[in-house]
Amino acid sequence: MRIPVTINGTARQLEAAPGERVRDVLRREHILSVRNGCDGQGSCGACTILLDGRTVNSCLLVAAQIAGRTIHTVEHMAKNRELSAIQTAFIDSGVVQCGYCTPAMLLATEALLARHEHPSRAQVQDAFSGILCRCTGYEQMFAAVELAARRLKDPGQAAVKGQEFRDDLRIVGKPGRKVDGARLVQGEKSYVEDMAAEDACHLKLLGSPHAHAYIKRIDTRRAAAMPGVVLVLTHENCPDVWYNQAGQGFPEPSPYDRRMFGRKLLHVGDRVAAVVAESAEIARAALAKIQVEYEVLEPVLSVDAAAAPGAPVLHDSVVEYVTGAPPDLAERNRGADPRDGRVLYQFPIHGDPRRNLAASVSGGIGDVARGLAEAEVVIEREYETSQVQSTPVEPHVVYTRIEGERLIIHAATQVPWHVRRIVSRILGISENRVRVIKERVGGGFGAKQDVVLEEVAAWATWVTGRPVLYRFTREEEFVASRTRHPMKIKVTLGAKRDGALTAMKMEVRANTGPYGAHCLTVPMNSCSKSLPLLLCENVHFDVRTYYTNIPPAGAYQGYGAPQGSYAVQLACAEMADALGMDLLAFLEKNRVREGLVLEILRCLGEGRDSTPQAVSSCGLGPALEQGRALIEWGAAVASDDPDVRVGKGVAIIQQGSGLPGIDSANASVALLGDGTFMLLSGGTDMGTGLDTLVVKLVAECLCTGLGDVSLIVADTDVTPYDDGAYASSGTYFSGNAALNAAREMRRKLLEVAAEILGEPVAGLELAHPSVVRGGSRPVTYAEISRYTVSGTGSGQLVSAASFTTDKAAFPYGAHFCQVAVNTRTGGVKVQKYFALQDCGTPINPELALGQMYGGVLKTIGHSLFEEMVLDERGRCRNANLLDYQVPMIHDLPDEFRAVLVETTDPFGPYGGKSVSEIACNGAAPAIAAAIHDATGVWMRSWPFSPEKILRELGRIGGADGR
Amino acid sequence: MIEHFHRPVTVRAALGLKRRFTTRAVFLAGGTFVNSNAFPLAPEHCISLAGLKLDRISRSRGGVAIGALCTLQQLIDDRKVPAPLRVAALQVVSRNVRNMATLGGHVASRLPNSDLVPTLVALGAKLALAGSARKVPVLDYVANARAGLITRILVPASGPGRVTACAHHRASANARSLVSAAVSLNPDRGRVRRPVIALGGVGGHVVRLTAVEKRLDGKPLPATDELQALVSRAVRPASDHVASAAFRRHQAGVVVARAFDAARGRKAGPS
Repeated sequence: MRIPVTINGTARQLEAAPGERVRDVLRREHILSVRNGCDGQGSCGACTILLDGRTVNSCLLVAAQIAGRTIHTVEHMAKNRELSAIQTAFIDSGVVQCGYCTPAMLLATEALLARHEHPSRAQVQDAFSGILCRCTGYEQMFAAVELAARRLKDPGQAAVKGQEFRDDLRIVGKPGRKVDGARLVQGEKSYVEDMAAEDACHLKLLGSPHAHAYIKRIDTRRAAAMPGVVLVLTHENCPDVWYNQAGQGFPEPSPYDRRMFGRKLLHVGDRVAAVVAESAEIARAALAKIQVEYEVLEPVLSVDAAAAPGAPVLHDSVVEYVTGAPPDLAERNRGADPRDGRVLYQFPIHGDPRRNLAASVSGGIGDVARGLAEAEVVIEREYETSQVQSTPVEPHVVYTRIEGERLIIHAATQVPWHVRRIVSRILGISENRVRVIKERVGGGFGAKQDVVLEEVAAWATWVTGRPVLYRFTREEEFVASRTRHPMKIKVTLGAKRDGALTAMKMEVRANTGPYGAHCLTVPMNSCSKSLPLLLCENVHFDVRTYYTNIPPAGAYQGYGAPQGSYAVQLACAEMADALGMDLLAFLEKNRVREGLVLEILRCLGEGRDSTPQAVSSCGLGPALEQGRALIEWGAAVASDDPDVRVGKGVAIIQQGSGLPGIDSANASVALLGDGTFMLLSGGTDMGTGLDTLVVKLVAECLCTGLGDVSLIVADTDVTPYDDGAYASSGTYFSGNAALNAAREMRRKLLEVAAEILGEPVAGLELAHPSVVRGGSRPVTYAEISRYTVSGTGSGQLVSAASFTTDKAAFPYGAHFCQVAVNTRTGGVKVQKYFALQDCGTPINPELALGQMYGGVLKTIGHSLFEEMVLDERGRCRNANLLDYQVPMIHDLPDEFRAVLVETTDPFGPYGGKSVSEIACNGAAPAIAAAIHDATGVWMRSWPFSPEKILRELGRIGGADGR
Repeated sequence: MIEHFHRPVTVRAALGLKRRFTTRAVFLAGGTFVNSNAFPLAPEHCISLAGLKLDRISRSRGGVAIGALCTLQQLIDDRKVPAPLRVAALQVVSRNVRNMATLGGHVASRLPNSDLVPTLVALGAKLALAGSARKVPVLDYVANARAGLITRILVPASGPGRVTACAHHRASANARSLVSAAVSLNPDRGRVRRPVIALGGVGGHVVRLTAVEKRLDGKPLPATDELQALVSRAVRPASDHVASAAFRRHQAGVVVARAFDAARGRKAGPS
């Protein structure tokens, strides 16, 4: 039907089916800023439009409803290329991270400021109340709106000056517009879904209805015969290659335990078949015609069930090793079920799949038995964490196409080079035949570290030659992408009466789900990011990771550290309580300090030998001092409600900055004709601000302006290799690689300038703006460029550099909170949250703060309410944003402040260290400690739901079934 | 997938279309349920109510008549709407949704844990249904699955001294309410007169706790613990993947007690 509608000021006649979602209609009309995060539930707001001036979800409108109406999208905001006041305010306030929800937020701001010239905090919250942002933690939105309000009246209004660092530097440590900000606030073509050609085929997946089953028979003939169906894939016609989807450096410490499609199905939603068709509707209809007969097996859903004698075995497979096979392997493999296929370990990580054990490791320093014997107080506690999902608003998505003889993959990935390596191996083609282009990523959070759909679309395109778009539904994102490993962690601490720790023991049992992606390294990280925070001579850890039939676990921001930190830090709180000691005093007595050598790290490598590391910089002292003052530690807070108790808590935290000895990054810088630069970086910005960071580092080093460095990133054809964005590696590895390339360019600039001047290099130096000084006359970069590219020159100046290291740069922090616990409802309100973190020199201060706010709010979520709920058959009962419960703007603490505590790390670029993942480690233990302070109960299982709290308080009886 | 979109401009025409296409057709108000991925039906015909001019709010001596197509945000923004209903409408937290969802559509959805229906029940609201002169109490409509197109929601004027308030329990800001309650009463020198207690989230539809109302009528309001226990004993929710029956029972008591507190002007702490 024809639908008359005015869009962004232009009267249009749209052709649409009456029941088509308006979101889809607008996208078809090339209005790309309307996004999809919830598949039409109306819970994410990414598809927000202004309908007659009011914000509405365009996914909840059908085309016929907009007849005669007026629609505005973010495309109307900028006039020509001049950004609106609201758009610039968002960029300058650091609230544009991945950008996927940004158009919705901008429109909500426009509507809000039309209603209220100077809105209150409550009015801002109300305006954004229906829009999910998983990156920013919302807090900086208030300043963005305030700035927008001022700029609407006076476009020259400056942003409120925030923290600045390093007076000796021009650009690093100062605010600077995010380099992709303008693109994202205008809703430009940016994400994978925007790249798909109109004739792209659609890939849809038939997921297993059973958590544990064999496919006895599968008949795809009716589906394959449907007009418009291009390909049907099952275990019978996919590559017979076993692999792991983890985007880790090769050789991976994760077993190759899956095929593209298996005959055995190991979780609800596991791949049964895929249909590639000329439309999404045809693909869905064809899936319904696939007939499958299953042999249903008993599901295994917990580590206890997996470890129990006689438990059903998930991988009753033939186990193989590339190196280090145990001598009795043949004996162990006897009786394997051929339907279960293979499990290949690159090297031993002490797994035994026939006992559902994916990996294990133990180690330590000193003598824990002696340490416990010396202790005057010993506590042993077990903590449990539930399964949570990172819910990037953009689900996993990939677009694949053929160009000549090559496969092009447009990916929303954190690991373009790992995608290329893994996909080319599965397809049986060489890496030079595959190009991976990392598009803007609508939130990664670790889930996009793995190759969870790219290989299927790649195979379909490689086989058929057709372009293929494959996008997870929100439900698939929950059940078939990656989640935080559920864990049970037992912590034993021994201490002297004065609080000095004499022994620490940590026993981690992790649930990896059906496949072993990150099965060793995530639970090891639980230990390696929690134990070294505390000084103790006798430390032991024991890690066992089990296969089960829950949705797959893997990487999620923090990578095991949030679970480990929760257990160890809360155990510290319990120990302090047992000692009758103030928790802050206990932490101060036992905490790590700058200059110390962390011996425990010798045995906490990623499945390989490692080395002890020195603490090269540590801001824990000032963080604790400032936090103590902010929260008014020790001052009791009274409540005027007899049901409400108020308490305070604290946790100290750490992370790493990439993986020394394992990670590597590369970059190159080219001098252009007018003296500006083109930077090629392999680094993968998934919204974090890494692109801005590398540009700032290069501009700082080369004494040029931010606008004089342009950037191409993360394209395997164009930019040099980078392991990818994970393990908090961006600043340290990709940043140092870019800085090294700039330093090399500096060397070349000085050499050529000296040649032009006929003078020695010594005494010459780069100076702002873009000039070499110190000689008989200044030489501009433009002159150098003309000189080098002339017919008699030495050729364009291009510098390439890499960064590898054996030195670590640990970020540290202290998180403080104040909570109000309603002992009648069980509800917990976070009244105050202060996150104080040392990320060395904050390269992008406002973006670093945004990373901290976002990390904290995500983990307030899993501390208080986020949880994937599985039934007894392994089906996720809340695989949607509304029922899963993702923190929204009304979930913010009443007072929420992120504070950067400056240190200068000797190895980080201009002293910088990582900032994001560490922010996920404090909420659970700090909130749990505060709940105890308020009520006297220890919450040893996250989330600290009202129901659990009431049970602990004895206000309701024992569990009577869920 | 909707194949035919009808835009009747009279209620009579709308009813005619529904009679003609019966189960193949669905009425469309704001669309937050019918157009969502949670809607269980796949109707061929969609009968839009947008042209029926049911988006007005008018006050008379008898109370307020709210057109069924008034959005929840419209209720909040219009001071003619009784304050307790405006407060209840804010419990639908997403402004985007409130800008679309209509009061008539919300009632017709018969959500067991509705944020607004308990307040409508407590206020004694009735529904005007198309083609019928009789006004149907809201509870009768939702509890007995009454058919009929809602055209107006009639909220009677509260008598002198009558107070009404709601309370809800949800685990996070935008979550669905686990339980929702509204109470209405006449405080009378420490006593409760003619209390109404409506509760959602403890069964298949919103219920009225008439036995508890009788126990309370004419007496001093019991202490919070006693009132809470009284309500908890009066409900029989089932356990599900969201909460245990024990927790729902407990929270049912809590929200009713909190609603009484709010109605009597006592401040409640963080929920």
